[in-house]
Amino acid sequence: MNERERARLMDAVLDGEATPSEARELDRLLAIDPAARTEFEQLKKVFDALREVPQAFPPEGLVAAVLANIPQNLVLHGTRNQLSSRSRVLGSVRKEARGTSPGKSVKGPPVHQPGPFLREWNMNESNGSSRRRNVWVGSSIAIAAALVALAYTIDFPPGAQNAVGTIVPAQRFKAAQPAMDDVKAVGQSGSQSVPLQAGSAANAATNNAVVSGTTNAVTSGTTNAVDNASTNAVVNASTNAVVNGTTNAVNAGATNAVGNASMNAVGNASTNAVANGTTNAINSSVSNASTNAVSNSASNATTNAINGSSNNAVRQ
Amino acid sequence: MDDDADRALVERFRNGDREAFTDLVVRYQRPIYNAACWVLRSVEDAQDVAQIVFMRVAERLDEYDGQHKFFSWIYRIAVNESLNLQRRHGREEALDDDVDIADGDHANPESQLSQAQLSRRIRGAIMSLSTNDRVVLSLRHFSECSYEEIAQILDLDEKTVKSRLFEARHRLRGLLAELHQH
Repeated sequence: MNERERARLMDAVLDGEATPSEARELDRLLAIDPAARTEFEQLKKVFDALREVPQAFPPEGLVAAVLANIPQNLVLHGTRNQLSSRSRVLGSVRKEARGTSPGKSVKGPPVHQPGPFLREWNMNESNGSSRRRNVWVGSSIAIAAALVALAYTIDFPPGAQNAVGTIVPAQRFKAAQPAMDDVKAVGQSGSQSVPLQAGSAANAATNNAVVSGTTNAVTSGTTNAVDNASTNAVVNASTNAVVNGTTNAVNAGATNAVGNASMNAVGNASTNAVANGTTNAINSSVSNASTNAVSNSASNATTNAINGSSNNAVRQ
Repeated sequence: MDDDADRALVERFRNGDREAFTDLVVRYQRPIYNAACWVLRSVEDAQDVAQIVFMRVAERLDEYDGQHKFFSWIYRIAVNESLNLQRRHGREEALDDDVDIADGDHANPESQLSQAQLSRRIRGAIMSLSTNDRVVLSLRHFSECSYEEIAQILDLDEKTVKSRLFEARHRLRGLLAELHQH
């Protein structure tokens, strides 16, 4: 028995894998060979030391991490080779890639996908089809939103007829103020309405009427414009917000029927309600302020002119 | 490991008892984690592999043949997954750990070493060996697998296992002797 065979025999005995005859043979050898005994003792120390090497403890969260990544709906079919298609594919690929020994495995790229918890792997399994579908859905939503916005832009221009009853506080104080030239008192429009008589009450009445009418018209017009603008702004803004919000929500919900109806309805309702309410309120405020100012100034001027004329006539 | 207990847990899990799978994870988390550590020499990689192994077990438990020992089956998955990850990282020959060289009595160094020092020295020496050596040594000495079990896990015949073990120990002893001389 050469040195190598002797060492192999010692290994087998220390591993507990030697046959009885092999064990007896080693005993005989150790009894007659001091060098073999020394070698065996050294080898035994290595085995003993290996047995004492402490093993690492896994991190505390390992079990929880493993269990968290096991699908809740994992179903075993109870029959071999009847796993899901994914597992069958993985299994077959692994078998093909596995070499005959750990160090001689087939070269090439990674042969299978590890679980979704691996740090280095992106386990997003979304495919091209689902991405394309998302693009189409997104595009449809964007187009629908643009159409709705365009429709409301066209339906609610800052025109007078559509702006009746709508307002906004932001510009109510910028409404055109009635100027002297804009105020047409009855007496000022011509001699036909209030005939002037020199030195008479009519003259004074006319003068007072003009002055008072102008002053009152401006004051009343401004006041009424502001009041009406504020009131209309609040009422119309709220009304339009609700109406437009609801309409847009319904439209958006119908358009985005592919599973996103609820989310888009809420989003579009809020957005459109605010946007349209603000726009309409601004437009209506400007128009109503102007309209009311002119209307009120004319009306008040007339009333004041008559009152002033009557008062002057009575005094005189 | 008690193979009868393993089989009972496997059977329960196959019948839909998820608690049985939890028990399997608890039973095998440490040996699987250590097996991966010896191959990969990286705690983080070993943790990843341990999770992968249990995922594979859950997915492929129907493929387990009850004629064989469950721990051989799960160890085989662990070794293969570790080797796959090592190949992906391309650092098979890299060294994560420095071999601890302790001062001692050169005439009888091992008698002067504490058990902890000796363990650290052996661990460092093993870590400096090749992957093949680390795999067979760890399966034999740390997982306490028999030749037959190692052969099943590595898909080798027993003669090859004996030969690899012998060569690995020979290199380990040589490495330890070198350390003693420094």
